[in-house]
Amino acid sequence: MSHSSTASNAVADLFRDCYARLVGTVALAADSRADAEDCVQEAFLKAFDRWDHVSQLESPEVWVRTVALRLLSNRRRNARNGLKVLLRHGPPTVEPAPEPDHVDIARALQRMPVGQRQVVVMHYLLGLGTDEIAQELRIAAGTVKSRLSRARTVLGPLLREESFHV
Amino acid sequence: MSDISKLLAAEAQRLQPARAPEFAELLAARDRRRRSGTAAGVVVLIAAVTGGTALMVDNLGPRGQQGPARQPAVAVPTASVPVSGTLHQVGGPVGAGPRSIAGTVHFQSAEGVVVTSVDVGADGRFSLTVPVGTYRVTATPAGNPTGLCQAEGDVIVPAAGLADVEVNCHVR
Repeated sequence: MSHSSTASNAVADLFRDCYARLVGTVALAADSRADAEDCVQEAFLKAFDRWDHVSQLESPEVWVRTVALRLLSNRRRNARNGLKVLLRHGPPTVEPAPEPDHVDIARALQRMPVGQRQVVVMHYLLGLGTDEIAQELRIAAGTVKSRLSRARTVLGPLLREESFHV
Repeated sequence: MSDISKLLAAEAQRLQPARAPEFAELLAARDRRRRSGTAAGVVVLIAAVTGGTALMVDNLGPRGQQGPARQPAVAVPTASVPVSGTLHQVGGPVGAGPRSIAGTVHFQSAEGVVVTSVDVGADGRFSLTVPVGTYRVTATPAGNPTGLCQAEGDVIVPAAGLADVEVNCHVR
């Protein structure tokens, strides 16, 4: 079996195992699930291209997730895809209103720019520290801190409400 | 803080897609994109090369080795019109300005054939009549048959005739 088909089988297995989970996580920070799926798919293709390196890592899934999260804020990619989507589908339609059980967190995330959503997901969901996030997103640690701090002001009322309910 | 984590985890769970494509489909789709991208690039390249060649041919004008259709102005005999100009020697020792010299001026057609030649006196002035058309004008200075003198660019002789054709002989 050739090297390429070995890699493609291995990545296909990883893809089957992790795709839905990764899209769910990345979608928290993305503008839409379609955008998240796009980033995750692109990240898997990158993993395939660099499988020699990625397969040696402790967790290839984490590598793919990091790349997908980083792709979310790739400006050139966003501009290119925004144009493509506009040409293909016309101007965006209004998203349907979220359902009541997840309305708070979804609404809070919607109010943040993509940079803040990235650090919120990486910090609160994935449990990464400031320095790790800075390294993964290739931004300064200070930027991560200020984004987290701004995000907390959006999430703050939610936190208080939550603790009030419990 | 754990509240946020739980909320995010629940939301991530909710956002998971119901169906996933096969990875092989993604690879195939990317290959197709790359191929169509390459094809588009080749088309652009061919267009650029073709366009560039067409431009070059245009720039060469009648002097290019093109079919007879491109130089009717010279090939078709038309009435001769008066043309006059000067033959100068430029360059040479520091302080030496352009100097009128004697010699012979040649009007060459697109094919490099000398259509007509005229002798130039010591005052450097010459006048002759040539058919309307585009010429390459060269000259041979008197007493220096190997000297190369040439008017800058093609000389286009219109129906009204042309004055002040400057032919310069550059010396070091």
